[in-house]
Amino acid sequence: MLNHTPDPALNGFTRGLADLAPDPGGLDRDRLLFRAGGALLTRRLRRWQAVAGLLAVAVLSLGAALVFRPTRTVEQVVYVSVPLFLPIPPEEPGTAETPSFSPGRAEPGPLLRAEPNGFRLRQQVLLFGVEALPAPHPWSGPAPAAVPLEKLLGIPIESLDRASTLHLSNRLNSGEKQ
Amino acid sequence: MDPTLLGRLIDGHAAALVLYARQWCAAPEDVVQDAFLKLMVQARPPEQVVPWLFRVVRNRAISVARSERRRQRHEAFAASRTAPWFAADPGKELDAQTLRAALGELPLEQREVIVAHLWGGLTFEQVAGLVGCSTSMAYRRYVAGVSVLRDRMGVVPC
Repeated sequence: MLNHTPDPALNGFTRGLADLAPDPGGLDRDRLLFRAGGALLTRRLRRWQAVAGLLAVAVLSLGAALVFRPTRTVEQVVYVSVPLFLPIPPEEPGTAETPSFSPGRAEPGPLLRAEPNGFRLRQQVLLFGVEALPAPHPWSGPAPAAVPLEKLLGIPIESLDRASTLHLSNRLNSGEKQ
Repeated sequence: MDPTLLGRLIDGHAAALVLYARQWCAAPEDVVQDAFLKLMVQARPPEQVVPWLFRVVRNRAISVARSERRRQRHEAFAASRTAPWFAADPGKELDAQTLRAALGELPLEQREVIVAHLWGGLTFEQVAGLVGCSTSMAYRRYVAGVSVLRDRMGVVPC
C-alpha cells in the first residue's frame, strides 16, 4: 500500500512529499506522440519490407532450383507391344550376308541355303520359334513353256497329216497316255 | 498500442519517469522518450505497462550514465545537478529545492526506491522486482530513506 509505514508521522511526511509533482523537464508531449507515430509507421513499413524481402528470396531460390536442378534417372518398367512377325527388310544384293564356310563349323541349315535371307530367318526362328515363320505360299512362278509337238515326237511336223496332228495334240493336252 | 493510451501514460507517468531517470543520467528526457518509443513498437504490450516503463528507463539511464562517464561530460552532469527535480509550488508545505537537495544526498538504493514508490506509484513488490531485491528489503530502504529525508528537511514529527 502506498505511503504505508508503521509510523503515522512518517506517513504524513510522505504524503507531503507525494504532493510535490516531479518536473517533467524538457519532455515535449506532442513531439513524443509524433515520434511514437513515426516509429509505429516505420515498424509496419519494416515488417512489409521484411515480408517482401523474404518473398523475393523465395522466388529467387525457386527459380535457381528450377534452372539448376539436377537430372534425375527414373527406373521404371515400360511395356512395349512388339509385333509377332518382324518385318524383314529387303536386302540389296551387294549387302546380303553370305555365310562363309569354315571347317569345324556346323553346316548351315536348310533355311539358310534355301533363301538369300536365310540367316535372318534362322535368327527369327531362334528368337520366336517355328510358329513365327510365315505360312508357305503356293507356287507362284511362271508357267512352264509349252513344248512343241515335233520336239516331243522327235519327228518333223511335215511328216504328219493334219488329222493326226490334231489328234495327238488333243491327247497330249488332256494328259491321256498312249 | 493505442495512441490515446500512450497519451494517458505520458500524462500520468512521464514526469515521474523523468525524475526516476535523473537519479542516474544527465539527459533523462531522452531516456524517457526512448522508453515510450520502445513501448510503441512492441508487438505485444507488456502486462504491467508502468513497471515495464520504469524497468526500461532504469536500464537505459544506467547505460547512458556509463556512456556519460566514458565521455567525461562533466559539464552536462553539472547542468543536470542544477536542473529542478520538482515543480515549484509556493503553496506546498515542503520546499521543492530543499527536497531536491536532501534527496540528492541519499544513497542511490534508497533514492530509487523512494522515487519509484512515492512518485511512480509502484507497489513494493513491483519496486523489488525493478531494483532486484526482496520486497522487505525495498520496504526497509524506503523507510530508512524517508526518515533521513525528514530529518534533513527539518520536519519535526508531531
